[in-house]
Amino acid sequence: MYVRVDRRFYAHGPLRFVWQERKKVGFCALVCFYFRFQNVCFDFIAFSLQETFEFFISLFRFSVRSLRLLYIFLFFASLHPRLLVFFFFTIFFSCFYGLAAAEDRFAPDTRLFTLKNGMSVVVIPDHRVPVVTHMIWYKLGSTDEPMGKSGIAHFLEHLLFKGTDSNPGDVFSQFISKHGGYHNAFTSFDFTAYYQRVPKKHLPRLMELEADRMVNLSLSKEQVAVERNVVLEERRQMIENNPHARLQEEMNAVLYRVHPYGRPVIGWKHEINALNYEDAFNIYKRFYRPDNAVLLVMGDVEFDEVYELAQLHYGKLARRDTNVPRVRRFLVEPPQRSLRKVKILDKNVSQPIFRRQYDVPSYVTKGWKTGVSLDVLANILMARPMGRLHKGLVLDRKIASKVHVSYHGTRIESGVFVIEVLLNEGAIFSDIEEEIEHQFARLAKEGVTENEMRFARNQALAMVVYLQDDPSALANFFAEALMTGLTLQGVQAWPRHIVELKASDVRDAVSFLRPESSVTGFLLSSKIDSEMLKIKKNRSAEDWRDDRQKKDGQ
Amino acid sequence: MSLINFFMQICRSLACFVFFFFFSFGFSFVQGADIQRVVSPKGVEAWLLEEPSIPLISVFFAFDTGGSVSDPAERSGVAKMLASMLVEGAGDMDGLAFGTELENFAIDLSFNAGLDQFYGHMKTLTRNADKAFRLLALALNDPRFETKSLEDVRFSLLSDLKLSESVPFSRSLRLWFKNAFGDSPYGRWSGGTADTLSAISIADLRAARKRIFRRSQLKLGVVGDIAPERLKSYLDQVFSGLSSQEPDSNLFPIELKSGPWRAFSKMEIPQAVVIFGHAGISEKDPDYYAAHILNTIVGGNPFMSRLHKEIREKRGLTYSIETSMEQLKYSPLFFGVFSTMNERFDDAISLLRTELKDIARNGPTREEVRLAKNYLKGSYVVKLVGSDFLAEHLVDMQLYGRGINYMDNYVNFIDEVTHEQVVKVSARLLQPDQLMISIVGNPSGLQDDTPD
Repeated sequence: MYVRVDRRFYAHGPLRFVWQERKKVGFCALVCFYFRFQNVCFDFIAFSLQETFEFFISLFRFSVRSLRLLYIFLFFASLHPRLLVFFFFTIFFSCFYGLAAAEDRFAPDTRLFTLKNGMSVVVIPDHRVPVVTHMIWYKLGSTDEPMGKSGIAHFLEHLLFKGTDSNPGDVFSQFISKHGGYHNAFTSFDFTAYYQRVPKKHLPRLMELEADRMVNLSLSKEQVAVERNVVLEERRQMIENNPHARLQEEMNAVLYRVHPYGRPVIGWKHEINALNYEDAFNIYKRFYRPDNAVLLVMGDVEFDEVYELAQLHYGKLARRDTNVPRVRRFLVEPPQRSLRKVKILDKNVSQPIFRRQYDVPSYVTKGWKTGVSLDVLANILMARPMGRLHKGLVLDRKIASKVHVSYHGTRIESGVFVIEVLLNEGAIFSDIEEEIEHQFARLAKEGVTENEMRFARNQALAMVVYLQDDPSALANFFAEALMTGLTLQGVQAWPRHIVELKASDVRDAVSFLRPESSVTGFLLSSKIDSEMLKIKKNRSAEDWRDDRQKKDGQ
Repeated sequence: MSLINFFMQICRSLACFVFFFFFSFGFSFVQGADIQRVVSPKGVEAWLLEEPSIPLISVFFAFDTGGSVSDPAERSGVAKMLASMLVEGAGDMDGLAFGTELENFAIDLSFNAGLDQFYGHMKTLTRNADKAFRLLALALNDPRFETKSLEDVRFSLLSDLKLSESVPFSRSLRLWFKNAFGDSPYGRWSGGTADTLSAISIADLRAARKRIFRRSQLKLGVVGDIAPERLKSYLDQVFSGLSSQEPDSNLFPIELKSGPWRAFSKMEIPQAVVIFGHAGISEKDPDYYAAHILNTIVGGNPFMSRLHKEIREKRGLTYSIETSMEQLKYSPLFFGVFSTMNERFDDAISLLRTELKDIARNGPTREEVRLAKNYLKGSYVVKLVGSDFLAEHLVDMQLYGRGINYMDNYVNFIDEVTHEQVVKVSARLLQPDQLMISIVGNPSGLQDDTPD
């Protein structure tokens, strides 16, 4: 069970109160005890009181089960007038306790420990299904690659499926497959992750295999050559065949001039072509080591058993004497101070796309408040239908059909804030830019409304619940944070950061969205005559400006 | 003294009781007995998996005969349009107010039209359940269908249509279905055509709504923090007002063009996207589970299938290749997808044929069958992730007539299949000589046979 917040709540909240006042509530408890099988009675009371407390409850954001508890207390209290006093006291007490507990931290049973060789282990129990998700995350991303070797981290990720001396070939895959599990891996700018999901009882063998391939990889040159072709096919499928992905790749390269965030994770094609056996092994030996890894086990497990197993399988890997060497520390992005634009014309574009990417702080570079503000800001801009950009671009001006805004804050050296707009026919890019600038100016001047804050808070707190329903999403949420330098306590307090956020914090965050630290991308069909668009657009832009002046004047 | 002890004991029992009451729900999903058939006072049936450990409710439902296959030919795309229009305002709320309510309460509400069925999905926090079911009831029973929203939705579907032409995969998919099914309903793209989309009026939407929303066709799955009694009242609130008339004749003249054929559409991209397939085996067929195991061996099991090993692992000709048994109601299919660089297209395709021929002729080995059976038995539990997936799964169980004990029986269905049966079905399922292939890309030596 995830929502162990409730357990804390019962163990330390109202029950403790009952315990302390046991002499006074004792006789009520007796009655309650007598009634405990008579659910009808409880249900009756529950229904009649539900409406009365609706307001109260929403005020304190109670979970349904705490509500049920309230009914029981109410039942106690209704038996004797003197207890009414305790009843109200209890309600207040438990409400504040409930509030603090529910929004204090989520997945509260999560625990972290570190093995002697420096490897961290995170355990998140979830007993709904007898299955475990086992993930190992290495602090090796595309940003750690040597110059000229872009794509080697991702290439190595592919190669790790080729076996070791003691478990050659596809022994690993066969093991996963014959128990009905699945496994895969992914590489990002700051990390590489391998994940498996198997029935619980196979966890020990799984750990043994994963620990084995952390240090004992064995490869043939031929395997490397074949796998390079697979990676090239992957690049063709994901990027070359897709103009939108090519736009993103170009924009990244333009936004970061020095920092390796500007290189594609999968690598430049000509550099992938030149990657070889030695490159793979060099990087493997440098970065695949226990003190550079975080293990995350989530599912039908208890902390103690994971602790034992991790000691046994990962604990035996030797500790290294030196620190993990990092290239990127030497590659610092100079100040961003120019407005850049990228345009891609392609026959296979059906609807023009406008994309803007801002270089902004990440959670770890500027702290929780800024990170959470940017998350909330993205939501306030994008929400459909009343988000500021959606309303401005889609509903009011009708120049776009879709707006998407996102903030990627779990990155080590800087975050990125992305606005993407699907243009309507006849609309032009400068109108989109103008509207975005207009909305930002308004935000900076007037700030966000209390309604918007409430909406963003509700969304974020609901996301916390929905996340706990989806093991892989929850695991990624925790692991990405840990991999980019945040603490477990910090991630667990994410809901609290959201609740404590003030409207002025969000307004302040707008100042990070400076045009000079951004790149703007245009994706359009090479079939469209852009000159024609220009004439049309100027007229519509002027019309709009006139309208707005009129409106502002009123 | 003894009295106090007595009271303390009672307090303790009470505490135990409370704990028992609230925390005894950590049962596992997979003991099939947990699925309850809930029937509301007005006769609406839902399959429920109660899971109170996370305070959310996920509802998934389908109208069995409401997919785009039943769109009138001159109004194809109407089911998809209906799906989008349902969340554009209902009851006393216009589209804006309706959308704002959904956003403010973090309620996911969406509808979609598949080929065979019309789907709905709703997810909410338990504490907003009243609100969420009310919005769902409004969307289904009292949508506003305003002209203004209709134009917006039409526009967005037209741009989706254009997008499907420019994305290699969906273009290849369209090409395959168009060639395989010709003018029969599966051959039409479920998103309609520019002409039919432009022709759809509000009257058409109302007619489609009447035709599709039939209680006799409704299959419902609910997962999450909700007790059966409470669910019953919601079920009545949302679904009891829908028409209880039987649907009109639901037979469609589906004709699968026999292979082999090859359809090619040229697109200037470095990698060709290939879809291949032919007639498959229905889930109601006695050979189904044997075929299911065979498909796992051929291309269903990622990382371990024959095609994956031969085409990706050994030769690096593709990034991924997978096959599946598509359970289309009127024409089940054996279906596969991969992509490969234009220059090596010929190698990949001849390798594919060779492999399929080999399995069709010789069948898989005894060991392959054993491993595939193990994989399928285990993966059933492993894939049970998240309430949305489970709710959808409950609906699938009803649509395909699998019975409420399917979660328990599945393992037996797989276990009962013998190696001989799988070998026998290989010759029946796999028809490498009948392969129907659609290609989008730019491999040399192919002639474009579709007008651009």
